[in-house]
Amino acid sequence: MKISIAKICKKMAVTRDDGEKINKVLSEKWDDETVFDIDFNNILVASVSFMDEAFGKLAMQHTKKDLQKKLKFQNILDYDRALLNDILYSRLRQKELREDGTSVRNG
Amino acid sequence: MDLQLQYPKLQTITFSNQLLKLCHEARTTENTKTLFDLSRTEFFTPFGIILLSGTIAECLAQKKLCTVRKPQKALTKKFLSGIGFNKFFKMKNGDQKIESRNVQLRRLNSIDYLFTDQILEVFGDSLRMSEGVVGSLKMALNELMTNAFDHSESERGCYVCAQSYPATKKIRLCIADFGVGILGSLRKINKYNSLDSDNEAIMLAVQEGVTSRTDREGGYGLNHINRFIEVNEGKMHILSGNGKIFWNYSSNKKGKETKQTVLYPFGGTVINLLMNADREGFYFLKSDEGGIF
Repeated sequence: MKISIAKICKKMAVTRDDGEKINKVLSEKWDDETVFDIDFNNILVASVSFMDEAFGKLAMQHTKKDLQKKLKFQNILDYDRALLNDILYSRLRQKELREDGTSVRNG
Repeated sequence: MDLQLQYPKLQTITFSNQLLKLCHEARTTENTKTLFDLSRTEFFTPFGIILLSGTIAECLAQKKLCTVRKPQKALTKKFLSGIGFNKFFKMKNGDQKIESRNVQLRRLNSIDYLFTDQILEVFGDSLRMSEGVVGSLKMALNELMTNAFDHSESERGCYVCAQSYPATKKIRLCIADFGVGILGSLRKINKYNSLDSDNEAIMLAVQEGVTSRTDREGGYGLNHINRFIEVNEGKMHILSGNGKIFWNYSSNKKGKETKQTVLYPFGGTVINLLMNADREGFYFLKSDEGGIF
């Protein structure tokens, strides 16, 4: 499935509400699609809020391997790629901490 | 009763105690007429411009009559007009051409995508910015505007002003709101309602995952800005309520963090950044684990 950031968010890929639009599409179709081709259209997004809401939250529900298998990013600028990776690592660390906390409480 | 406020020679963050005293007096004194006397002022930074303009705008909103005595120095008067002060308050000579290295003083009521692009364009003309600085400057503007609108509860939005200094290849950016402040915002959350110091609240706000949002998680913006300023060897001040914290990452004072308690509380939050336009600015995003994508 092809997803164009520019088409869905226009020029407004900044806020958490903007990111939520992308997350909604991905979450709704996650089980039906094998790959999402996400096109950043070479627009500099540079928004932590947008990236976290659109993609970071997926890391709380899916494994790193699943994310790598299903998400393909095109025409994304180096800065945004670095920001995206950083946010995904933050969320994966957060998930690990929560799971550790749960296992301690349950244990 | 008339109130006359004499502003100092330098309106910069170094003189924040003096400037906050004037701001506090203007906002809290029961009077109908206030004179903002800038006759002695010779130098402004974006912090000084924003604190002054925001204070005047807040007084006008309280239906106070405000007058401004302009700086005596012709160069300072020209600078003030050039940065958009006159236009902002619809004063005479408001049509003075905005100097290219300045970004017009603006009050925003919502996130303004065009304004962010305009700042990048203006600074792109006057400075050669690295790709990391362009991205991080945009990131800082996006996050600071988002914070101001999501958390400050300010009735009059936020104020933004920035300036580039081509000779030293530096950029100053200041954004302020006259809202509830960081402590006021965090205290609304059960987890943080026992917080009782502004400095403690500021320190907490720059940590990863700390937010006053209840509907969704977040709290990465200020943390990213602080990490960027560190690799960029820049400086960051956050001023809110009685708290003021200064992170100085310039090469000779690596990581020096100074906490201060200001005498006159600022009702709201000011974030003031100084960045180096020619340094790379996104190595802080490179993980030792390598990229996922």
